[in-house]
Amino acid sequence: MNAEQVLAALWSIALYHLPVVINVAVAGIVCVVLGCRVAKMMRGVTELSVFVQHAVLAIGMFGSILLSFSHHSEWAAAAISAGVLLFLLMSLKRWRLAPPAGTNRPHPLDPSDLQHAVGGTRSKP
Amino acid sequence: MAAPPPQGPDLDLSLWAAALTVAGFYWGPRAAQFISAYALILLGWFAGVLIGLYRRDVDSRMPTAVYVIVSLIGSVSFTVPFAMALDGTAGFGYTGLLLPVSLAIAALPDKWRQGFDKLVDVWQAVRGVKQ
Repeated sequence: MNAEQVLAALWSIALYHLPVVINVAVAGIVCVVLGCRVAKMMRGVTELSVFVQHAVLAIGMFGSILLSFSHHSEWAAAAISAGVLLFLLMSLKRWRLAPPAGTNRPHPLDPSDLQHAVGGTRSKP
Repeated sequence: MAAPPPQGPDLDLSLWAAALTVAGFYWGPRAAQFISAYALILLGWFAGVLIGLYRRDVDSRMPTAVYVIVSLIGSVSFTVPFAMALDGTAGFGYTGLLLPVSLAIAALPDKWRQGFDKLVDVWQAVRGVKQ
């Protein structure tokens, strides 16, 4: 079997596993996007939990890429799911009571909000 | 009654087999253990790159893409020798040190200069240039 035949066989295997190959490509793009986000973060300014949240998601994605080519490829999906789950769990505190600032539609303020903005009833003469 | 069709060759069409085939061109029949080791090194490198990107200064002179590539080359090249040099420390064999060593190489870009200077010192001491 010469090199050309081996490459042809590998190409056939790649086509045979096309969904996995697409999954690996998409996960790779997600890793790059998350890496770009982390590069924008600043130590001491960005909260550590935000960095860990993104890092855990990225490592889950990267782990799934590696696992796809390993003997334990059936665990690749679990790696992604675990990364997403940890990402969501780490933002639970922000979402517990209401959507965080910037994620809900602006709405007109009612009188009680305005009262709060000027410091409550104590500001009345 | 028709005879059952002859069974084809026992072909493994998994991506693991494909990866093993490609790695086999370079490492030969022992490729499997090298794939596992380098998968660990790559995972450590990626985690280290994320930590390094978070730690490093925003106005760092080295562009992000260059840092990622240089740290990849550094992790792949130096992890095994460093892990073998540290073999037995803290009760770990060198295979157990592959992940933390590759992570440390990628995560500490500000320590590369110190490490390089130390290596030069050791090299000069070994050669007898420096007393």
